[in-house]
Amino acid sequence: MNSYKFRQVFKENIGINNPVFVQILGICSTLAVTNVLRNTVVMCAGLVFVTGLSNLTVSALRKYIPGRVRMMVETLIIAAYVIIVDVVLKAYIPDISRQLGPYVGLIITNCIIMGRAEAFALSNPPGLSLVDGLTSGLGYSYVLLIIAFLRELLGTGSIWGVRVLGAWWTNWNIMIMAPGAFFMLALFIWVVKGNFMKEKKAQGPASTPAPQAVSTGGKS
Amino acid sequence: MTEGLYAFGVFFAAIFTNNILLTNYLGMCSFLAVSRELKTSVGLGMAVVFVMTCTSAINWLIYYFVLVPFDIVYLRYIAFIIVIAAFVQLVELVIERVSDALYAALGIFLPLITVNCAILGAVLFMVIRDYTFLSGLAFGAGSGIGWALAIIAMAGIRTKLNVRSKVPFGLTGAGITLIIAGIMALAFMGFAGMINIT
Amino acid sequence: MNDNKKANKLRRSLFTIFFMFAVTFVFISVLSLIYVLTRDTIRLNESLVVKRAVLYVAGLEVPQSGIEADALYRDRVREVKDGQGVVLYYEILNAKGGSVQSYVLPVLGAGLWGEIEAVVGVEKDLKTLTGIEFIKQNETPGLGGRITESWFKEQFRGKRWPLQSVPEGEPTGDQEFQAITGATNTVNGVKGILNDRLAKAEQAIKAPE
Repeated sequence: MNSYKFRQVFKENIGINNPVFVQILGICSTLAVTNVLRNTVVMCAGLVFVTGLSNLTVSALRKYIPGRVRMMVETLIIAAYVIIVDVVLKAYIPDISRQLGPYVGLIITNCIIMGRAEAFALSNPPGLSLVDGLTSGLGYSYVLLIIAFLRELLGTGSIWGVRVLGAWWTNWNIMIMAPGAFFMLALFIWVVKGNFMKEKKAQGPASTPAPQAVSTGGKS
Repeated sequence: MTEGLYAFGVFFAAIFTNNILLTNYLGMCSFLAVSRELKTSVGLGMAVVFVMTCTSAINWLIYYFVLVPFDIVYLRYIAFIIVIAAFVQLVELVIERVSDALYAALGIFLPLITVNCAILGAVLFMVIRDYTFLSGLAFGAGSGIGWALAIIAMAGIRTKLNVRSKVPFGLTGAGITLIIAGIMALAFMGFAGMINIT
Repeated sequence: MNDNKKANKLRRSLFTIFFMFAVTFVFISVLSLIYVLTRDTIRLNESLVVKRAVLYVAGLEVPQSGIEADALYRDRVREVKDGQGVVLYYEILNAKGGSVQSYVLPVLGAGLWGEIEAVVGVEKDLKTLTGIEFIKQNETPGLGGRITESWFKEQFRGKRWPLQSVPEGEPTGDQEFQAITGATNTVNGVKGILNDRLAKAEQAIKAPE
């Protein structure tokens, strides 16, 4: 029974309930660093760490947190873990920390972490919450890693700093800049939603944003 | 160059050439969700301008008069986010008591703003760039207005889109908004070079 | 009945306040502990940033490990300071205890968004650059921020002052460097900073302490 629940949480967070392309949460902070794959990996690792541990902590304290200060306590917990990540990065991988700049701090406002804390950790036991946090973080990470991979490849012809495309490749500079990130993410969502969410389209989407008044016939 | 002029330059640059949303990718969650309707976008935009300006000012003071002198700079994330959360709560309380009309226009957005990455982001950029108080204030105000500008423009475009275009299913909602955001970001890049702060 | 309710409310409020304090206290203690443990490493890293930059612009191979970089710095670099301990420039020695082979000048100037802090290396003729490296900059990511990219910095090696910029992608003479498309302000800022600094290089290096 327990392991079934773990597996279900895992599947949901990576697939149908994936925070990024279904719930469109939390892209703020990380989209900025997706122009270099290496930085994205570090950022995502930090995020998985914070989401998992803050879920764990909130869940462990859930019976004691007074209702009125609920959000402040959650924020405090999340901020504390982010500070830990920030300090550790500064101490042990300083050059990446400098490249990430203020975006590490912005993990605090990442909607996913607060979202999971509110939606899951408050009403579930610590072990399950930890898994939920980690898998949400992972679901988020792989989307961003794919985007980062494409952005760095197309934008600089290299992956992880190593040039892979030959001199024949003209760098798509736009990929390094903001518009490139937006377009990439949009493309990703398009592919996923168009291909994998067809069943949702038939039923009338519940967890996807309300459809515009377009002439595709069905309106939920 | 006088400080006032520099602050003015920072103000304009924060709106156009270094727009906090279109260049620095901050504030996207609420941006994507709310930009469907023009009225709500205007309300949220105004709320953001107000909160961003005030919290920039307050956090500047806290950073330079509390965190730095006591060597607790590493706690800045906690300090800033608590200031922002507390400020928003306070404003919500005040508005609720004082003016029903204002509450109807702004009040509901305030909880949404606490987790808006752009607010914390603006404060973090401000301390990283070592701005003076005046420039920090100008930066906060400018960033807020830039964000509001982006969301209002986006809402306008999306309302037109609703009526006139066939958006493929895969792109409805977030997808097409991101593409529009990308195009807007491209357009805003045209402003580069408009402001020359030396 | 009423009194009971009031007492309960008071207790709940007190518990809320106590809880907030307790949680805050616990977390801040943990954070302070971590901070104290890593503070020295962080300070060391920050000082290494400048040292690595100096080694890089001098054209020397910068070792990965902090300890080796520090050792190399101590062997080959001599800091020349003014009365207040501020470094005016660095002398690069050709071997441990050897003679001066080139210089490195700290540079500070205005970019688009704020100050740009860099170091620039020059040969003994004070006109040919050995390299540049940026220590601190706040330029627009993806545009002005690209000045930290390897290709942009490397192109300065061997160039001669005074410098001019050409559009990105065009061939350059020995007094020209490629700009970055869309980052005109930042690039002009860099150009101005470098040219100004090198114009005063003679004074800076020959000036008595």
